[in-house]
Amino acid sequence: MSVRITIADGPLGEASLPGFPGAGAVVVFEGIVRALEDDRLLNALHYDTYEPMAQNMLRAIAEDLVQEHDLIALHASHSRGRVGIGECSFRLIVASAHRKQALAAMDAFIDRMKQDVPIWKRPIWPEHEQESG
Amino acid sequence: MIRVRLFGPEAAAIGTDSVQVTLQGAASCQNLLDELTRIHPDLTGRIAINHEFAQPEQIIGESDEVALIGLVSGG
Repeated sequence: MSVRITIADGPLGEASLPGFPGAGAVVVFEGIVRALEDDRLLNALHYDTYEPMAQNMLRAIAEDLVQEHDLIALHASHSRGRVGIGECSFRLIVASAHRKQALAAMDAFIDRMKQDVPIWKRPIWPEHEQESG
Repeated sequence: MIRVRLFGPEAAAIGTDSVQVTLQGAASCQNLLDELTRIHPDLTGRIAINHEFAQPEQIIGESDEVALIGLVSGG
């Protein structure tokens, strides 16, 4: 089994999928910053993280789910700092022998992350960047 | 004196990223949370000690890093 956790500055680059020997299903989820927040156009989201707790919590959730769903791999990456609209701030790759394991683990990971992992996003509105830029 | 780190909406709510709380004797996380919300009623959340969520009865040590983790919003 393979667990990989990354918290990186700025938007996540293109996904590169390694091989997962034995996998019959590889599921990739990407969280993309939307242009609208509360019906207002924004410039970006800014992510604050509390580290190393955020990293530790992501790893603990990943290791739980690898055991629970008998996964081959779970790789999670999250941004910190500024991520512009249309860019990727979160990526989850889950590999398992069968489809249902990977899909269930993916859903569970995201639910637990949104409940327990100390990462916060805040909108950056156009007027904020005009003032500072 | 316990320094409590704040993040996200909690930091924004009171305009600072940490607060100092004075408690008598060996204080538990529940004691801290009670006093913190008495002083700052806008604050809610769970206490983390040394980067892990703590149980309410856990006693806070002098050298512990203490944080209030409110609603998170990653993803």
